[in-house]
Parts: sequence; structure tokens; C-alpha cells
Amino acid sequence: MKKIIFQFIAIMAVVQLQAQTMSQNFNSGNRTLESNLCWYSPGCSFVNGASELIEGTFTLRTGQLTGGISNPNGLITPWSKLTGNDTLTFKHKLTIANGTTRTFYVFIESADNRRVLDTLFKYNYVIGSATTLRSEKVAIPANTAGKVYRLHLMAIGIGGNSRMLLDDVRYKGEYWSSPSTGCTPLATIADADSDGVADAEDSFANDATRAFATVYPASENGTLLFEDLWPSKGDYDFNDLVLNYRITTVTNASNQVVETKYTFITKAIGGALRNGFAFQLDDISAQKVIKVTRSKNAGSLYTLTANGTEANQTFANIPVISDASLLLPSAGGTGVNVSKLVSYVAPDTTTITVTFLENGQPALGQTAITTANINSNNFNPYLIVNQSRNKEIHGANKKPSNLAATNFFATQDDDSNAATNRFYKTKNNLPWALNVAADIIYTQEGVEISTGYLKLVNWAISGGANFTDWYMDKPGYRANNNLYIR
Amino acid sequence: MSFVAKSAIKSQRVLLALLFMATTTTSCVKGVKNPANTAGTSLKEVIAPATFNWQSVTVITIKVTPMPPTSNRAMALEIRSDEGALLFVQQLTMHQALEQQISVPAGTTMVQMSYGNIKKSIDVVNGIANIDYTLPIPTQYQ
Repeated sequence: MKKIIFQFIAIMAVVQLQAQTMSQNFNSGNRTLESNLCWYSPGCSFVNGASELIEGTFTLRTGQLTGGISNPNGLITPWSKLTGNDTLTFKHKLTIANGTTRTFYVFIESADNRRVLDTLFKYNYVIGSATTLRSEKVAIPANTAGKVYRLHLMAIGIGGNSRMLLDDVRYKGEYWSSPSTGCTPLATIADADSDGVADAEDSFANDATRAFATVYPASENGTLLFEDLWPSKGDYDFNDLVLNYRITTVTNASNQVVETKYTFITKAIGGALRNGFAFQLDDISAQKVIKVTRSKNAGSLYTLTANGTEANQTFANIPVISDASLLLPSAGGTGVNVSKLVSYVAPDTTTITVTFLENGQPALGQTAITTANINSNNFNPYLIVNQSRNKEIHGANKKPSNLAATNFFATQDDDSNAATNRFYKTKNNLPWALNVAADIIYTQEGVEISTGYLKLVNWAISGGANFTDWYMDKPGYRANNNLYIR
Repeated sequence: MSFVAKSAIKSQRVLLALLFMATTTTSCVKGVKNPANTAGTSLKEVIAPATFNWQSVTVITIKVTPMPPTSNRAMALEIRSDEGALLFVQQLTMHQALEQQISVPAGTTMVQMSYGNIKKSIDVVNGIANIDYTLPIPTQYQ
């Protein structure tokens, strides 16, 4: 018996939810807003003068009704799924008692056969008493139940200058318009994996655990350029290690991050040191990572945990390379791909996928992360100097990992101060690493970067305000003879 | 006053003047290091502003003003660069508010939003892109 009662209550609850009331009282006072919600009011305004207000704060008023059938003014409701056997209620009157004829109509338009209007109601105003407020109840036929319609409440007239006032429109129905597609009736959406994301928008239409993929940088690979003699400035050619990178972030229908995929292309080594490379995801706990999948082993420089992140780190640190010189073996001379006098070595590609959700679930005991938690700001790449795991070189003001030795800070040219979150800058605020959101050419060995990129100094002096495009190939921006162009 | 005394005083004044010039010249070294004409200036000699983070991207905030609730139909809100590159995408209904930081190329002054058939150019002002779904009343319903 209890089960029957609970089932009855559940059914009634569903029925109640579906039997919503569609209503319009114009109290927003904003025709444009209501239009965007698919309540159209051709030829009308929302008024609140004392003599015209019917109730609430605003009332709909038509234009002067002199154009006859060719100029109906009034209200068109959104498409609604009707319940049938219902009553449309509303209040109306004329502003003044004049006009040759004034008629009020209610039409019903089916979504199945657009623009065919059936008449539900017709009222001819008696001009002499037309300023008396009328409350109407219009029957909505039973055979409309479960079907999609919209209602037209229109006034037409000939002669005179009176207008119609309308307010407090109500009927039962479920909102069935699509404001985002021009207020068309809601259409059945093709959603093969039933994740709530339409196939047309779903980058993974057959995978309910994935929906969208965004790529950073959006247009092309980014470029990381390092000087490796930190804390000394070095020659400032910024080619001691050069990598391209691209980050793909995959999210699900709930906007949670499923995984981030990193592609690194090691392009050049401009020195003799055997440098490694890794990146930290700032403010992302290492515990949130379910697993790290790599196209090749990170090498012996790192100690990994079970989830593939580096051990003894608060934030997720993802080792990439132990020794770049093993990926780009020297073709002679010093460095690789920094001197045109030496044979070119094909770049090496490493891909890494960091998984945060598996089958829709985060790591045990963790909450899912969203795009609000992870973006390009979290991406903190760094060079590891000559096999010394505790000697890291990060971008300006990027925080070191737990394993970075602090005794290098504030020595030689470095002016770091952990107390003020100032890292990897000289006294004159110069960096040891650059992260450019574009695929750029680096300078040749021993050639200072500013002699290849002629607007770089201007950009730096302005604090980034001027020449934000310093790295682009525009007239006067580059000295190609100083760049490594094959 | 004797000639020696006057000479001593004069020497003192010259010394003080030299000291003053040295001090002011030293404190103007920064201006000298960042000349108006930077042609040939080495990056190693530049003084960058202390707040400069050397990023080629900037972070802006997108703020979505929701519509009053209607249906629960959700669609993808996309933010693209002027060149059409996808910067951000998120599934949401029209009655959900959203405030989110996204990365865009430094110097970006406009982004493109799309939500279903609603497509608008959005100015980025003071690092904020204010987005709403409002369109003009269609001509046939004016």
C-alpha cells in the first residue's frame, strides 16, 4: 500500500512539474528582454502611466488601431507544450472610447503547420464601454494536450485613435521555445552518447565521458626558450633549450576536466649541458592526477609515484625529459640545430596525457577539477640544469617545485626573493625563460635574442604594453640573418 | 679671506658640485639604460618594470549575464579570437551566470561569442569581456 502511495505521489509530482503556468505581466518593462525570451509584442509598448496601468508595474499597450487586419498589434507567446482542457486568462480594455471598429482576437498557431492561425476567441469592443476592464477566460481545446503551439492575442481596428491595453496573461503549458535559435520550437537534439551535449557541438559524440576539446595556444604551437646558465645571465641567445608545445584540454558535459594532453617538440640545444625538462601544474594537487601516460619514459632523473607524477611534490609535477641531448644527439660541434654550419637534426616529439577523470570519476578522495581550476596560468614549464635535479630554471615569477634548491636564489645575477614570490628574475627584472604563445624561430648560437627580434627590447621596456606582437614576422621586426632559418 | 682659503672653499664647492652631479647622474642611469631609441640596445642591459611577467598572453575575465529562467536546454557557449581560434567552450543554460578567466593573446581587444544562433562581438575592456544573450527585436516583431 505504501508503495502505491509513493508511486502516486511521484506521478503527481511529475504531472505538477509538467503543468507549468506560462504567464506574462510585462512587469520587466523591457520589450527587448521579453522579445529575447520569445514573448513578442509587435507594434506595442510597455506603459506604466496611471490612466493606462491595469496592474503590476507595467501594462502592454498597442499602437493606434487604425490599420485594420493588415496591422494587428498585440502579444505573441513563446512556443509552449500545452496541457489541453485549459483556460487562457487575461485582462484588456481600450485606452479611450473611440474608433469605428475595434476587435480582439486570440489565435492559436500549431508548430506542426506554421503560420496557420485558428481562431480561439473573438471580441468586438462596444466602443461606448470599451474602457471598462474585462477579464477573459478562453477555453483551450482538449486536443492540444501534449502538442506545441503559440498564442496570438491581437487587436485590430479602423478609425479613431484608441489603443488596446493588455495584462496578466496566463495559461498552462511548458516553455518550448529556443531563444538561442531565433525562438524556434525546441527540436529534438541528436545526442548519440546521451551526455546532454548535442552531437553538432560534441567533439566526442559517441563518448559520454568527453564532450569538448580546447587547444592552447589556440592557433599554433607555443615556444619555450631557455637560458641554462642561471643564476648567471649567460649570452642571452635563449636557445640553450628550445621546445614547441601544445596543450589540449578535454572536458565533459559537466565542464569537468577529463584529461590534458601535452605535445612537446624538442627543437634545439644551444649548449653543452645535459638539461632535462618538466612542468608543474601550479595549484593542482598531485593527488588529483589519476595517471600520466607518456609516449616515452621520462628517464632516470626523476622518481615517480604510482600515478606517474613526480614524488615528493605538493603540486602535480610531470617529468618530460631527463636529458635532451639523448633526444637530439649532436651532429658535431657544440649544440644541436643552432648553427647553420652543422647538419640539422630532426626534432623529437614527446606526448604526455595527464588524466583527472576516469569513467567520469576523479581520483579517490578527490574532487573533479574544472576549467576554472586549470588554464594556461597553471602551466609552469622548467628546465633542469645538467642532470642536477635540484637546479631548476622557470619563467619569470613562476614558482619553483618542492625539489628546487633555494641556495641558488639571490646569487650571481639572480634576484629571487621567495618571501615576495619573486623568482627567476635579475635585479633589472630580466628572465631566464620565455614562453611565447606562437611558433617562433630562435636565434643562432651566441646571437643575443634581441638582435634577431628587433622589437623585443621595446616590449620589455614598456612592461608588455607596446609591441605585444614583437615575435611576429612583420616589416622591421626581425633580422633574419641572426635567426636560425634553415 | 686669504687666496688659499678662497681656493679651498672654491675647491670644496666644486667637489660638492661634482658629488651632486655624480649622485644625480647615478640615479638617472636607469633612464640612460632605457633610451628612447632602442636600436642596438642589448636586452641584457634593459631594465624591465618590476611587475612585468614576460608573458605573451594575458588573462581576461568573461562575465556572462544570464537570462531569466525558461527551459533547461543547455548549449555550448564558445569564445573565439577574431581569427576564429577557439579560446573557451562550456556547456550551460541561458539562465546560468558564469565568471571565468581565460587566456588570450596580449593586446586582445575583442573576442567573438556564440551560443546557438546568437553570435556577438564582445569588447574586452579593462580585462573584462561582458557577455549577454540580448539581441534586437526582430524586424517583423518591432
